[in-house]
Amino acid sequence: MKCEKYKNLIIDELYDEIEPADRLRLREHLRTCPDCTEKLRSLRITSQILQKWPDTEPQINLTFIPEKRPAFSDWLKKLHIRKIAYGMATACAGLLILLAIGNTRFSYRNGNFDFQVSLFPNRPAMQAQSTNVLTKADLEQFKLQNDSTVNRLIAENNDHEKIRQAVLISTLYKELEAKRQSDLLVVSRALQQVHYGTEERINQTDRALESLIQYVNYQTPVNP
Amino acid sequence: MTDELLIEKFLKGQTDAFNTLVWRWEKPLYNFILRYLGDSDKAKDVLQNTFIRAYKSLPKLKDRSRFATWIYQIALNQCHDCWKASQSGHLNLSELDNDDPDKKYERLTLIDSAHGPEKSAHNNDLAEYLRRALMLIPEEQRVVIIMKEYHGLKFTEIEAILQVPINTVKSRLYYGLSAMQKIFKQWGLDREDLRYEV
Repeated sequence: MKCEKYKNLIIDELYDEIEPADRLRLREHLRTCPDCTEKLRSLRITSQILQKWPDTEPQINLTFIPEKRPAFSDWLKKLHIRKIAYGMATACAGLLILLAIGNTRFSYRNGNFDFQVSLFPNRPAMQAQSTNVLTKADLEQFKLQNDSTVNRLIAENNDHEKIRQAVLISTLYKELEAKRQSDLLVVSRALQQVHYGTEERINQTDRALESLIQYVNYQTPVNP
Repeated sequence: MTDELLIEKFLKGQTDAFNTLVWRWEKPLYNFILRYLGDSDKAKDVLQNTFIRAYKSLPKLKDRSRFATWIYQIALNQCHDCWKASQSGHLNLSELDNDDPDKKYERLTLIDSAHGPEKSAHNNDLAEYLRRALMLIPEEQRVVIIMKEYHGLKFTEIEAILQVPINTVKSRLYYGLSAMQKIFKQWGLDREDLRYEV
């Protein structure tokens, strides 16, 4: 066990890659350890024997010729397809996450908590699913809502009818008013004409009477 | 011209700059691969694949001063794949007990001890025996021995290529050399006369 720690130092010494301090330590050990001394000697011989295998020529002619790349492949190479693919994959993943978040639905109905994740809006399916869990209370509620809607529609219809009649009356009133105004104008004009005619006639009568009086005065002698 | 300059020229479209790198590195890499795999045909294939991989991946190399480490790493990976493929159906070295190297090499050397130099007197090719001996030790020890003995890499460089702690590198080298020593002894390669032959 004592010699175990000198194995690496023996290797360092064998290849002359030993630190000066380690060399001193090893030499100190070798002085008292014939086994390690013999080991170093035998490994040195082994190394010398191994060196007897000389290098040989490969006897092979390896020459690389430039590959003629088609223009399209050059273009593809410049595109950095891997980067584009990573970018697209990231964008798709982001889009899917956004869709999933956007179409996630939480609902709480009749004491039941419902959670639904979908990539795309799926309202008809949701309605169909909700029909499956209809209760009597839901039906009552729907009936009330239905009645309320019908009543509201009737009331709106009545209001609409009243408004229509009011508009009609108003229109008729306006027409009658216009007619009345027109008639009054006619009457007024007629009265004016009558008035002017009568006045003219009185004036004529007055003038005739004056003429007659004058005539009578000339015919009748004056009594002394 | 430095490797960095050649890489810069290659990245600007000069393929000849890469061919210069190939010319510069083919011999050391070929010998590295050959010693790793022990088969010259496979070594040529792996060498070719290494340079093809380097040709395609060189634009991605950020620190050009690390080219040597980087190309060794490519060669190492290619060797490892080739070695794994060729080992299917053969003796699986990794199944042997890593904590008991002595036992392992006893078993391993027994497999090939019949083909030692003494049994084949006419075969004087020491390199062939060294190739065969290297094939008998675990891959991880073999690669460290090759890098240190034949390529003279520093421990820190081996650490960077293998991406293991420096003490692990030294430990693998220690056990690898010990295993080689045993094989040499068994084959009689450590004899004085043989040591100075060839």
